[in-house]
Amino acid sequence: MTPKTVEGATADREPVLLFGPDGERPFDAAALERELRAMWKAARPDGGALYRAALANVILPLDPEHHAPLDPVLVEFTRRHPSRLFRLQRADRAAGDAPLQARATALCHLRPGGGGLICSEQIILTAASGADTLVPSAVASLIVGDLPVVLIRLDAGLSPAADAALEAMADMTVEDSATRTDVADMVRLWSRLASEGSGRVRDIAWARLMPWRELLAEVFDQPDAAAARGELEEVTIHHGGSAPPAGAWLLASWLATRLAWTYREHRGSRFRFDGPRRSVTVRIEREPDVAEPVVLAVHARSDGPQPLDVRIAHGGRDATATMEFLAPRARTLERAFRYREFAACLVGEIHRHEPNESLEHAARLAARLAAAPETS
Amino acid sequence: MTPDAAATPARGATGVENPLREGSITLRAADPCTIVVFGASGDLTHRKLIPALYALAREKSLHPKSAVIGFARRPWDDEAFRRAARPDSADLDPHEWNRFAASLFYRSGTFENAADYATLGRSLTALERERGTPGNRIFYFATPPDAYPTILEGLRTAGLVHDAGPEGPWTRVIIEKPFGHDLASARNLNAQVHASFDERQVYRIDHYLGKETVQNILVLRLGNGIFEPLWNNRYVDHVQISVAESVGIEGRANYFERAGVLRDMLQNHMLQLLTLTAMEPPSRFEADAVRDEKAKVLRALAPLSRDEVIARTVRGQYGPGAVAGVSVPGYCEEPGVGSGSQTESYLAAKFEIDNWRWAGVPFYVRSGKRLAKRATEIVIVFRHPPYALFRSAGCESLEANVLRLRIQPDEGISLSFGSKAPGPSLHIDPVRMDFNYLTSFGADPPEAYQRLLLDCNLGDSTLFARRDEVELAWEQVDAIAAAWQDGVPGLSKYPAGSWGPTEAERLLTRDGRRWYRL
Repeated sequence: MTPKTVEGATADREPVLLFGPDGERPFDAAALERELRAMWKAARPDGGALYRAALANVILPLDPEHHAPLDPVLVEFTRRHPSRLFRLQRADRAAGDAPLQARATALCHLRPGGGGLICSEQIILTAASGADTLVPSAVASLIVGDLPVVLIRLDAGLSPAADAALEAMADMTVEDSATRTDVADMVRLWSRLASEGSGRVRDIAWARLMPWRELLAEVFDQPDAAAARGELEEVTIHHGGSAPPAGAWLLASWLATRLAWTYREHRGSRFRFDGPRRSVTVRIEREPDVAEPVVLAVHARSDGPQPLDVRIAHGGRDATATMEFLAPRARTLERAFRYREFAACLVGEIHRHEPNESLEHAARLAARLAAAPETS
Repeated sequence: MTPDAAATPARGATGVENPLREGSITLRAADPCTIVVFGASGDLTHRKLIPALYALAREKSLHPKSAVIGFARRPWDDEAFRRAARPDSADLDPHEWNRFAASLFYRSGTFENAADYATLGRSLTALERERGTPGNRIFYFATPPDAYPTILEGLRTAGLVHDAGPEGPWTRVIIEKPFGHDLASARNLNAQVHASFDERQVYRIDHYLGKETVQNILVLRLGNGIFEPLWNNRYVDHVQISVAESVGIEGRANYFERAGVLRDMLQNHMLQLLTLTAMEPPSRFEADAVRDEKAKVLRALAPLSRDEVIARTVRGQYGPGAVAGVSVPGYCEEPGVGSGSQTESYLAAKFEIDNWRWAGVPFYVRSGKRLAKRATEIVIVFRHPPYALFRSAGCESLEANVLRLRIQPDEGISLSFGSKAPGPSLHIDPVRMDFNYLTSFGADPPEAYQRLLLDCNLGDSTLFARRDEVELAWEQVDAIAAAWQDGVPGLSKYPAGSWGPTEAERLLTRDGRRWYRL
C-alpha cells in the first residue's frame, strides 16, 4: 500500500507524481477516498512537508490521445491553481472488466525555495465503451462540496449525455473557440456564452487575446489618437491559417461593440458598420504565408478631421509588438506583448468572478458576423 | 438601429476616456526603463533587488528592453557584475537567467566624484539609444543612508533627472529606509530630494508594504462584509503588533548603534502596520487616497509626553543566550558594539489613537532582535460577549476571539473562537479557522521587492511612504527618543532566545492583558 515517488524532485519546476495504492482498479468512491487518505499518510517517507491543496474541482474529459499532450498544461495549471483534478476518458475494455476503473494520484510541486511539496489530487476515471454515462455520478460522489466545479471541455471526450450531465454539475465551463476548426462550432460556443453569460461559460480564446486588447486600448490612450476613436473608417485584421481564427472574429467584434458600431453588411472579407460619425469597414485578411491560425497585425485608419493611421504587428512568440503610427504624428513604439500560456489563461479565467460584459457583447456579435451571409 | 453594445467610456493610464478599457483586465504594461542601482555591490542588491528584477523579467512583467546598470565603487565590468549578481537560489532557470543577465550592466565609480556621474550619464544615454528605450529611468538608492545627499547632488549636477511632466520620459527615485535619523534630518533629506525630484517621482520604500499579507489587511477589512463592522472600539478590545527577529545585528553594528530598534523598526515597519490596521476606508483605492487616510492615523497618535514614554514604553537589550539551540553572544559582545552600549535591541510600547473609531483601544507594539523566533503578526483581540451565558456550566473565563494576521513567515490569517468540546459536559475550547497562502493558493506569495519594483515602474506609489507620513512617524519616534536619551525608562536586559524583558510583559499585565504567543 505504500505509494511511491516516481519522479525525482530535483528541479523546481519538475512535478513529482505520487501514486495511490494498487494502480487502476474498479471504481468505488469510498475506497478511493480511503486510498487518497492513505496516500497522504504514507507520502514523503523522507519526512518532508507535504501540503494537500485544492481551490477547485476541475473536470477534464478528453479523448485518450489528447491526455498526454495536455500533461504539461495540467502540471503548470496545478502549480498555479491546486485542484482536485478529474481526468475522464473512454477506453476499450476486455469483457468482464469493471465498466468504470479509477486511479488516484497526486501531482506535486516543490515549494519554491524548498520546504515541502504542494500537491493536487488527481483522479483518473476510465469508462468502458458504453459505460460513460456512469462517469458523472462517479465524479459527483468525489467532488469536494465547498469548492467550485470547473468543467474544461476541449474535445468530445465522453458521450453527449455524459457531457451534459457533467455540465449540469459544473459552476463554470471553460472552452476554447480557438481550437474549433469549424466556424459553426465557434458560433455555437459564442451564442451560448452570450445567452448563458460569461460567468458560466468561458472562452480561452478571449483570454489569449488580452495582449491585443491591451495594445489596441493603448492606441486610444495616446492623447493625440484618442479623438480619432469615433472617426475610424477602416480596420484590417491580418491573420494566419486558412480561415479566420476565433481571435480575429472576437477582436473585430470587441472593437465594434466597444466603439458603438452597428453592423450593416458583409461582402467577401469586408464587414461594414455604422460608426457614431461615419461608416466603418472591418476587413479580416488572410496572410497566405503564415500557417498558424492567429492574429498577426491590426491596422486602423481614419482620414477624417482627426486622422489616425496605426499598425500594430506581432510576430509569433516575440516578447514585443510594434505599434507604428503614421498619423497624426509619425512614431514607432515598441510594446511588451504579454502572451500568456494556456495554463495561465485557464487560471485567469477561473479567477475571474465577475461577468464580463465586454466579452458577452463581443461574443454575441462574433456569432453574428461569423455566421453572416454575404449581402447580395 | 441601436449599436451592438453600449460603449461606456473608461479611463486609460493617461486619464483619457477610452471605451476599450472598459471591462478589460487592466494589467498595465510596464514602460521600458533603465534602472540604476547605486550600491550595486551590496547585500541588498544581491539578495533582494536582482532576484526581484529577475522574477519580474521571467514573468514578463518587466519590459524586455529594460536594463539595469549597477553603480558602485568596486572595479567590476559587466561580466563581473553579472557573475556577482547571479542569485544562489536553486530556483534559477539558467536559460532565463542568461537572457536576463544580458540586460545587466555595470559602471564603477564613487558617489562623491562628479565625473563618475557624467560617465554614468553617457552610459545611460548610449544604452537607451542602443536598446531603443525612451529614456525612462529609475534610480535605486541601495546604499547606506549617509550617501543619499551626495548621490542626489551628483544626479542633479549631472542633469540625469528628467522633469516630472506628463509628456516625455520619466525619472523616479526609490529610497530605502531609514529615511533620516530624526524629524529634522528627515525634513532636511526631503528638501534635498525635492530639489531634484517632484514628490510624484519619489518612492520611499518600506518592503513590508510589498508583502501580500500587508496588502491583504485592507482587502480583509474592506473587501469582506463581516470584518469592518467589528473593526472599532465597540468590538475590539486591543490590538497587538509584533515584529520579532531571531537574528542579531548581523554585523551592522555601525548602523544599528545609531538607529536602535526604535529607528530601525518603529519609525517605518511598525507604524506602517499600525496605520494600515487603524485607517479609515479610503474613498478610492488610489495612492493619495490611501496615504491620506494613513497620515490621518499618524496625526491622531499624539506624540507621547515624557511621562507617557516612561509609563508606556519598554526598552531592552539582549544579553547572551541561545536561539534555536545555538548559543549566541549578548548585544554588547557583538563585533563593533561597545561594552557599555545603551542602544536598545527591543522595544515595546502602548499607543492610543485619538479618534472616534479607536478611542479607548490600546495598540501594543513590540519588536526585538534575538527573540525566540522570527515572526511578524498583527493580533486583533475582540471583546468578550456582554453576558457570560456559560458561567453556570463552569466556563468562567472564555478565551477572547482573536484574529491573527501573519505577515511572516507562513503568511496567512487565522481566527480563533470557542467551540464545545465533544462529550457530555459543557467544556469550551478555543479552536482555529486558518487561512494559509501556501495551501490556499498553492504558492508562496511573491517577494515584496518584486511587487514594489513593478509598482514603481508603473508609477503607482500606493505602497510607498509619502513625505508627510514619514515626517509624522518621526514625530512619534523623536518624542520617545528624547526621553530615552535621558535614560528613562531604563534599559532592561533580556536573554537572547527569550520573548523580551519582563517589563514588556508588565506593560500588558497591568492592563489585565497578555502578549499572544507568536
